[in-house]
Amino acid sequence: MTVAARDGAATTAEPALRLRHLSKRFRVRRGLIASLRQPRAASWVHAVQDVSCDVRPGEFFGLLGPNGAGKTTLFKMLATLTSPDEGTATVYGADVMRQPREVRRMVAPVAADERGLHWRLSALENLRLFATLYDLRGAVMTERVHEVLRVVGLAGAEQRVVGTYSSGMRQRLLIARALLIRPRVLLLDEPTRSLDPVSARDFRAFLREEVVGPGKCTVVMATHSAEEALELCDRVAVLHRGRLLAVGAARALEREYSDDRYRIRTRDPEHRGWRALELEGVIERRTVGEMEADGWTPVECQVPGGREAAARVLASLVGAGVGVADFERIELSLADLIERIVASRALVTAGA
Amino acid sequence: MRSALALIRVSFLTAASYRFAMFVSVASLALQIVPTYFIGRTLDPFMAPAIKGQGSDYFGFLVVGTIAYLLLAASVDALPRALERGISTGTLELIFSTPSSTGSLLVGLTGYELLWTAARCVVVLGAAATFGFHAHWARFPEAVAILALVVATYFGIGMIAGAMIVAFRRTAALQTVVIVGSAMFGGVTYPPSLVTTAVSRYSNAPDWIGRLVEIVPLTYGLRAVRRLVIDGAPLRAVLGDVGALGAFCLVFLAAGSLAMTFALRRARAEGTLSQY
Repeated sequence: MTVAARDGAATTAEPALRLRHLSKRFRVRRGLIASLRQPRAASWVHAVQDVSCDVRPGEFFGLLGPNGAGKTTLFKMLATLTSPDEGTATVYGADVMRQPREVRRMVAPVAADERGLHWRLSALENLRLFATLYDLRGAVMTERVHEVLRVVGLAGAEQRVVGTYSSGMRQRLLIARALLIRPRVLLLDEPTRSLDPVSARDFRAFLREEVVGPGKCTVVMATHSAEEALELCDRVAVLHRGRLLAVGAARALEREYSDDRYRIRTRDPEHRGWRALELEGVIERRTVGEMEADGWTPVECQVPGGREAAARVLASLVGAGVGVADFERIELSLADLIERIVASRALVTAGA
Repeated sequence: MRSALALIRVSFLTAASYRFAMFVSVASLALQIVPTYFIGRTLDPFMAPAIKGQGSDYFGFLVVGTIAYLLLAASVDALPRALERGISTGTLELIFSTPSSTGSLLVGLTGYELLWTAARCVVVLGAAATFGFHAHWARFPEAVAILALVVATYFGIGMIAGAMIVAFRRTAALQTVVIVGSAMFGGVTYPPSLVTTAVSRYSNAPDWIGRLVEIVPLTYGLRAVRRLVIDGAPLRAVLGDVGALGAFCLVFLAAGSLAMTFALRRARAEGTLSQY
């Protein structure tokens, strides 16, 4: 069991979300010929398998996994849109199967894409509709609609038809729609998927500053970007093929599974200074890439010992007369993270 | 109820954003009354014996038939179309994630289409009145109540079609069969008795085809409305037809509700509420 996995257990009496052995499988559609040949045969895809974890109130929780990991299915079960086959899921104590209406009053899902909005209507009309569906009335509704427009930065653009909005604005409107009910749990399914890098950065800042936090709401964000999850979230769960591989504090996960790999652009990839660092054990697993058009060559290596050790490597290289242009840490990719978690689990199993 | 009204309002605002289509929809209906008038007047002498007991005026017969047809088509088609649109645009899943009740959401999704059709019926009626359609206006409230029963009956069938959309994404042409079948056997442009007579006298078709008119709810609704509005008959004279229509209404609404409940449960189990 990893440090991260141990961290998945709840520490408060009433978690915002409590998932216990949650499973969901879907029947795989077969072609007509196959169905005629074997009418009784059925194959299944296990979208979510035996997932158990807690999410604390006010937490920014990341659900990290590649496409098909089961993130969206998990979200749909929490939003009462899909029923689980096995296990239980509760939102502040309300069971998603037995008390769906109570759950819907607390949970606001935000879809991965911009579907769900009425494109020929203004943002104001869209929000008024959902405010009514959530049973907000009169002055409270008007006040709340304008409040969420201000929070998401769409005040002043509320009379514009949604079809004329940019992707970023529509994403913000979807968030505004979700915030109308002051949700206790906000489910964000890949919210930055259709945004350009600048809009995505602004959007992340907005989430951190305006949406999540103590006294605000609990946010569960599904993403396939390890960088995004580790940057934004307090804790992260890694899902792979429907199974929960690890749950833990984002920084702890990063520390545990990151290999402190750096990319350095140099004019002297064969300088003796590199060899000296390798012999001292300061750097490991050095690989030299193809020389680029401007004459600089990327060198990748592992620098055990964190950022302090990296600073010493840079100083040594420069001191030895190695020309260095860039010295950057290679972010932990999702593929690497999953590969390493699976590998570490295999080691634990083998050890046991 | 507020949820239903909010959805109706949104549907109206969306429809109003297509102003030209809205105008054409009303104008074409108003113009449609012109050929209806001339056909009605031309065929009146020939049809008079056949429509005896359901209004002595064939033009009036056609006007009432047209109105009932518009209402039945909207009642059958509104819900499956709204669900299909909601699934493909993704709005359906979002509104089903709110705490509003399923019933109010379904009414809201179809309410505008039904109200708009009612407004179009008023246009047809107004245009027909300018062409000399004589009605017993005092019987109108009762006629409207019977037409509401027709709408509720066919809405039940629409719920079954809607359930098929939710469960299978296709309705296997159920709406077309119901709309065309009701128009053919329910007495929209000719009295149902004509079908029975034609089958028994002039064809080798089995007798049961002629009896199909009896299992079409529109047959009873139209006959009752025509007798009230065109002949000026009292309500007690059509209570038999109203009773039959009411029975159909109960059966189809119950079947529709059951089908929709099962379809939504299935969609939730299979996670297909938003897949298209």
